[in-house]
Amino acid sequence: MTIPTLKVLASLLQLHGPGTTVQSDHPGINALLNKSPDPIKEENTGVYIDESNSVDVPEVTPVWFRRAFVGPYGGFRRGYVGPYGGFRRAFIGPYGGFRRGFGRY
Amino acid sequence: MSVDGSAPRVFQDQPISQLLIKVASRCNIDCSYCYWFRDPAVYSKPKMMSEKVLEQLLQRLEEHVTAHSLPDLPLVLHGGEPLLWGIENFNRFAAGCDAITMRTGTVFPIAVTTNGVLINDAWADCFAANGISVAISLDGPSHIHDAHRKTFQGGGTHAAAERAAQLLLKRGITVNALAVCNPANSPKDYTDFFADCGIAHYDIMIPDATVDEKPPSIAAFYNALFDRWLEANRDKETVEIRTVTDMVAALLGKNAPTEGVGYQPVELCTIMTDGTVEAHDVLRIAGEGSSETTFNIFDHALDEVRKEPRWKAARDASINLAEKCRQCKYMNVCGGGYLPHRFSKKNGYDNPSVYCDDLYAMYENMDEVLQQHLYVSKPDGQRVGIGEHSAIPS
Repeated sequence: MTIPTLKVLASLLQLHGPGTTVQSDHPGINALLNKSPDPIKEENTGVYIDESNSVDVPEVTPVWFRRAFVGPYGGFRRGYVGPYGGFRRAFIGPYGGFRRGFGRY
Repeated sequence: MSVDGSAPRVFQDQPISQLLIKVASRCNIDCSYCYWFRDPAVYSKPKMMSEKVLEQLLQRLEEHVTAHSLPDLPLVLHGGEPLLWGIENFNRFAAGCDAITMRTGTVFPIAVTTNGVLINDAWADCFAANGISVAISLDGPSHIHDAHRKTFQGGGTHAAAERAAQLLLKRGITVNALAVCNPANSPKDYTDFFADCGIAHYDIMIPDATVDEKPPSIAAFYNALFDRWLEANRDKETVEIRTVTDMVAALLGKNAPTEGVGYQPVELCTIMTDGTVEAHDVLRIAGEGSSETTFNIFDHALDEVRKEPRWKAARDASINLAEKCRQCKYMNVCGGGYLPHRFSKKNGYDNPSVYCDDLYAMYENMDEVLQQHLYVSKPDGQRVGIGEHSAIPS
């Protein structure tokens, strides 16, 4: 039986210690690895990860409605200034207002 | 207890963090697989959101973001066909949101999902001026699209939808496309079409079905689609096919995929044209009135919906998985699949997805491919491929 990737990665990170990162030789996969700041987490894997050096992450993040393109994966361009050529309105903060990943819940 | 022995996850409550707003309850085309009109209760709603409901909604939005100090609150304008609401109302809505932003600092990213038939230069102006993200329902090439997305006279709507996408692209407006998978076709038909159109962000959604139905298998389609995605992004990240990228992201341990992937509570809140508040919009697949609540924005604050029994039941169902799911090695990445796909008249939502076998096969295929492409990079620069390691717990 294939061991789920998540569990493999968690084990490797635990084994090799701080400063170890997971990367991919495939640009598309690597982009997904780097897209979200969320670390591989213990509750996702059943494997303990030392997160003492990581940022505090929310327990719950929004689950996006699939019949629209909203949120970090599909995103609205309103106010977002980034590599996807967004509209430049409501320019607040480093990303033009919409903070990907929601830091406060 | 999950299969790996870890304790069940506990999810903290959070404020409602996105809203689905039904600004029109009717549609101008007649798609054969539309979940919306499966529920006759939608015909009891006003055709359009009135000015009075809009004003009340804006007031509730301001109360909500102020009470919870939200930095942003994504709003999805939806239908029926939302463009039937009209440009003037879209402008009024966006101006109302901007006024709240000026007072509170909260940003309201606005998105709309449309069949595209009504899009013209005036609509493009509206989207551009108000910074509204546009997703067009477009099932790939005409022979796939027109099989299901028809006019009331039985004609195809592909030409109009493609014209709309091209019009927006020419105006420099990003177009996202939402297609529904028809596994009888090749994924190449879809990916070639979107590449030719210049659409780089799209989804090919798993078709809606309940456990009481017998939909065709989708695993072969999505495994081939994953291959297409791998190929398209081989040299650089160029194409997002959301179902694929969400599943890969979930396998990589990332949070916040769309609903239907990952083990997270689904806490969607739908505002109907009359101001009533409903649970997850797509739960109406379960039959008449199945997503209705007793709450409305005139008598209740947005977050009060958390106390509403039917809303709470839907939310709880999204994380209370069937026994088979709890024993599955992919529980945390799959999360039981898309909630409406778990419904049966006999057990409610206490079922694995009607696509359970397909989803398992899809995750297993992705898992194997991912592990060929991942490695651990140590601080000293050393790379360790996953396949080179033996100290992995089983």
